[in-house]
Amino acid sequence: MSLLRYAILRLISGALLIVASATAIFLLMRLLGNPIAIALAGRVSEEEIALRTEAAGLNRPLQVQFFEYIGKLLGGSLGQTTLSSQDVELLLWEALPASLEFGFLVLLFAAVISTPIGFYAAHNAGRLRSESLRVSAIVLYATPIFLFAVLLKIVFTVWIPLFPVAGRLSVNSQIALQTQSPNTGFIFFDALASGNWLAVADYLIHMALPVVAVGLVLSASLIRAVRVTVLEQLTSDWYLETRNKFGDNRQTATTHLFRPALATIITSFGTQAIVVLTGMVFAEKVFEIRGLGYLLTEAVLSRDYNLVQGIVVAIALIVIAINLVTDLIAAAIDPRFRKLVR
Amino acid sequence: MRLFSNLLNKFKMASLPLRSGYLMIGLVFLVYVFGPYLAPFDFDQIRDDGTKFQTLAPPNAAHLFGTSNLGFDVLSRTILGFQPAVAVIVISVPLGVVIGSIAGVLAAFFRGWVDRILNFLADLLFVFPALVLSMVVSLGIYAGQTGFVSGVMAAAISTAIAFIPKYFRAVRVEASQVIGSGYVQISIASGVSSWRILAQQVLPNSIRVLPILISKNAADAVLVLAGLGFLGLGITPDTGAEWGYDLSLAVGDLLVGAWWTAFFPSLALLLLVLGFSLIAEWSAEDSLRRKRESL
Repeated sequence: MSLLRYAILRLISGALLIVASATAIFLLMRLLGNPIAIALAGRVSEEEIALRTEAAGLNRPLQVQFFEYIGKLLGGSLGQTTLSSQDVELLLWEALPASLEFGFLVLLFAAVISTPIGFYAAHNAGRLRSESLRVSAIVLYATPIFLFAVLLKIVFTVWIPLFPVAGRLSVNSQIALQTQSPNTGFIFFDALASGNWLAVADYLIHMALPVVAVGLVLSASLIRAVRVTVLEQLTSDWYLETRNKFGDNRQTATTHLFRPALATIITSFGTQAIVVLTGMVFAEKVFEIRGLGYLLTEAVLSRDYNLVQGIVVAIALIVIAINLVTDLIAAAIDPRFRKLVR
Repeated sequence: MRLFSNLLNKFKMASLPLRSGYLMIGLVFLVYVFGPYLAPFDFDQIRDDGTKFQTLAPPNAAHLFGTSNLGFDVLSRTILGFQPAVAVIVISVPLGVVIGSIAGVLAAFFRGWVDRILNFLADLLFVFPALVLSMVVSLGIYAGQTGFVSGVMAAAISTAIAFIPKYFRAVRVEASQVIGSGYVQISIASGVSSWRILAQQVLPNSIRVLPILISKNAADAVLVLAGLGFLGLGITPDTGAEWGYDLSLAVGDLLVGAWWTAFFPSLALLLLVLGFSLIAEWSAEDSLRRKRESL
């Protein structure tokens, strides 16, 4: 399949997936029960719930509600929060930058750590140092992210107070950034763009622990992916033949080891996106980063039905988008990835 | 007896990491079965013989793992925490395995549109992280009223949903090979009914790949349950003993130097998840190695 044909088909399947997941979320949420009753159960009387259900139009046929929801969604609206009647999409836009920058740093950190370690483990496969590396990767992988985050927080902010306890920025830098342009809400980007190096450093110091908490656990699975791929390449006839012919030099390693491994690493980013998102829910809670995960926890705890629905739609969109991008990059690097069904 | 000697044999053949994994899960199984008899107190017991337990007492003779902020016995809650954890595994794994492998076999056998639609559905399920799904489901079950049953169900169903695509893909690949093999082709040619072929030949021979995924599923199910608890959404301390919730309450204790309320539940959680992860990572390799050695 040519790259162009693959890209077009993949885009179409991505679009279908978006429609399908929006539908699935709507059905799941309706399956769970009456939004008003869920949000207000035990807080107001039965009559009040019935009245509000009527007012919100939830007594209408399901398909009418569905098309209204899809129509709004296409217009970029996710409705209003059940409890305080704020626009859901506004709350999402406020939370999104924090999570996107957080996720970006996590991916960067994990890629930088896991690629060399994965290569090292593959080259020393079967030896004690590689096996012990693997065992430690598994221990790391098995550590619940919330446990890891709590430990990091206690050790490095309380026992050895090296890092700030919570948040993304100290107050001084916040004020400095708000008066500077650009002011997009993407703190890292704003600080870099306005050349405020103090704020850049401040942001990185705040994010260090959360990024390590999620990034190390992600690294554990990436190391496994890299190790397996490189190991396959190392023992493949294709690589052995080339090595015998041209010697074990940088060129052979780049074209016959690194490039195929790179495609796998990039697709792993896609498949690990849900792992990262899960980790971020915990890390955002522990370190009080007001991103999507933090908002989701708050929304579920306060049983704000519409807000939960909106956040889940946003998360689905993000996962689909990440998978789309990583699949396309991998397909550009390695023709073997140009398959819709793997 | 035969089963036992088979198990023992399997254990002896295993590599060191795999062996430790088996040991850990064996221990988990024992604590699960005998836990209710071993635990010195109930999970929500705060007094004995009319005297109230001291709150946040360090480990001592009466309370080997100390007591928590709410006055619960940490040893009892650590032991009884195996109940919901194993319950989640027992519900989640069969649910995922049955749906995933049946869909996988069907996709491999019928191909064409059936295959395409099932693949699309698998892609769809893959979009939702199990934890996020379980948070949403917990919202619906009993209108957000968290308790033992609703917490276990939310974690179990969500993890099963997240693993259905994985079972599906693994079985689908395996089943395609089985269907291509001689004996199935002969059955098809001699007019044996499709359902019979699927049930008697394809399905039994396609699920060999599953043990690894099942181990991962088990580990993830426990992590989702504990994660829900940690966020304050799962099993509340008054409805059951659950490590994740206990851990979220124990964070404050750490600040005042009380390590035991966080340490023991975490250890139990790690034991379970690490055991299954070790089995998942090394069992594939071990069977490959044995195959090579037997050649």
